[in-house]
Amino acid sequence: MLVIVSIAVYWATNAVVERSLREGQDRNLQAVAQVILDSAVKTDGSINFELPYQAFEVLAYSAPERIYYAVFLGSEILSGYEDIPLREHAEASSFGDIYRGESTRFVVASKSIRPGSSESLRVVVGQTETSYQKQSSTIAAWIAFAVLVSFALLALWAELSLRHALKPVVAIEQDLIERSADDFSPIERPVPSEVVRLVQTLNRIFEQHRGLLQENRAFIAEATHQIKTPIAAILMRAELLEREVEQQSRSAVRDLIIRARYASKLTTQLLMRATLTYREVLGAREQVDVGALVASILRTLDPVAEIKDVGLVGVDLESSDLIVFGDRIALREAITCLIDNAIDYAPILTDVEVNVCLDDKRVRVTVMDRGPGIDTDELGETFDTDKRSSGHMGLGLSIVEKVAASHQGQLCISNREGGGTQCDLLFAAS
Amino acid sequence: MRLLLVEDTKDLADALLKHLRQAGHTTDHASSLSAAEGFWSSERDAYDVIILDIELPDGEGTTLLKQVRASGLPVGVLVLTARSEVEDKVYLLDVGADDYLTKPFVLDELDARLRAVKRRHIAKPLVTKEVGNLAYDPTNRTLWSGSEQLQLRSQELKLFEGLIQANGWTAAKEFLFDHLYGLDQDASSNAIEVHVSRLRRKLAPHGLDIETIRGYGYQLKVRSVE
Repeated sequence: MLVIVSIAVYWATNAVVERSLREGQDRNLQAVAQVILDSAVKTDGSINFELPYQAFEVLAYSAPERIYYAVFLGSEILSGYEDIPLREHAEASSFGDIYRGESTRFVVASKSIRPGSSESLRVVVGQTETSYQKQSSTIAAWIAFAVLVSFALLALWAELSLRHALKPVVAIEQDLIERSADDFSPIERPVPSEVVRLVQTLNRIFEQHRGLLQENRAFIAEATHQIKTPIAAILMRAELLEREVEQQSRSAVRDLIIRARYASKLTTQLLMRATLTYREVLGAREQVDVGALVASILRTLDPVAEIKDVGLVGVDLESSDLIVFGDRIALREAITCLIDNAIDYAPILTDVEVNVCLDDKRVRVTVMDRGPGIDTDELGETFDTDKRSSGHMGLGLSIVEKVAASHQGQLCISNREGGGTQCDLLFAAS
Repeated sequence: MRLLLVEDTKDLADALLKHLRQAGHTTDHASSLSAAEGFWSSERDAYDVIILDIELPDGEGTTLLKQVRASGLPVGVLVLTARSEVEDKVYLLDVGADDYLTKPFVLDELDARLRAVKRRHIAKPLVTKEVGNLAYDPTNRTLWSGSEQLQLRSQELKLFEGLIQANGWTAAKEFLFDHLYGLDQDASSNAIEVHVSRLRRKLAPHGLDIETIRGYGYQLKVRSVE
């Protein structure tokens, strides 16, 4: 852009300066021609005139150019260069032409010899204009250069000013990038008046989001408490009742307990799923040692397995390479769901085996039971939560799938050789 | 065990009290934080385990939990929570809970977790029976490897007791079966094999083997150092 502007400026300046220099040159030549013309005197039928050598010298001083002249009476040349191209410019008082290989400027002055006579004395004075053209180009180039430099300085100043003006906005952007996903505290950095409204709007949005999230969390916590506590009371009373009622009523109470437990499990899973969705929005991620995580889950679930007299065996949990970059809480829930489910389905006195290993840059968590296995028709299909909701894992599968999907992981379920189910949960190793 | 139950929901508290007392635990009941703090300040040395609900009408159960931990006394705390968020559970463990139970829960799980919490707060006794590298405490029924307590399940512990009663000799399978299940309790015929296999797995890292004496029973052996 700057180059285009500079070329335009050069071109325009050159034209103006050239014109101005030419007008000056024309005036000088006109003066010289007029002096020759004024000195012309008719004596005894012949015309005498003086050549103004001083004026020629002045011209020569003003520019190092060649000077030509010619004096005509009618079409007859009286003195000077007879090949001056006057014929081509008969009517012009000044003109430019290529004369003897050089660009030359000519001026014509004339006056009548006698009043009423059509015969006139014409003086043509010419001067080459090479130095004028050079001068004009130089002036134009300097002006263009000055314009170029001015524009460049102006652009630099504009850039610096813009940077300075945008500095607070860039600082706010950096603040927003660096803050954690659940940080909705207002921006408190001092900002210039131009961006105050932007910051106020951002702070208002933060405030609204914080309010919504808090409301959501409070609702989940309250709903959980309100739903689970009465279910807990029902379950416990039913368990105590089971011990007290007659043998024939016991199976009905048992049925009540099973249904209450199922309702309880579904409630827990439903609320957990909502929690995981919320956590996904937060994007809480960290380096998670999956071996240590599984060891901790096994400790938590051991009493549950003990009640069923099911063994809980963890293999190879010590390796330090088993690191996944993810949400610790979500990973914990997904793996807990798989193991809990395996305990549910494992027959008494059998083992649930949990293995963690590195498998081609992926961390593989394998949970195996000796339960009834799963319907072979479902194997190989994409798992459909709705289709399987009443089956093997309830909403647990939906939770595991959700966590796998949000961690670019994969869940594979297969039947084990010798009976039972094998669930493999794979995540990219960190 | 001497227990303090802190639970404000009457139905739940009644059912829990009934169960705990039937199970032979001496149990006090507080239905609010202030009542619980009253019990704690007057009888803090008496309790083995506190079963603590978090959502109480006059405050958070964690207030009491922090007081218990600040006292430095070896009291187990099993938290009851209706909250489903795992962050809350992790927080509870961080502030000193030994374990948590998410409502609703079954009574068997409560019993199992109570036993586990109680075990955790038993200090290693001075008088123990040495078995290889391990030390068995018959009073509290705990097994130690140095200062580390082995986490044995109830049936595994009974089996271990049956094996050490044989005093280096072979324990008959029938004897172990009766020791585990009593005379009037049903169990499948391979139950002993399964429990032996599980116990074998837990003892092996500590230099103890359970050798099968085909057709007769099992013998506990200290692995010789090569």
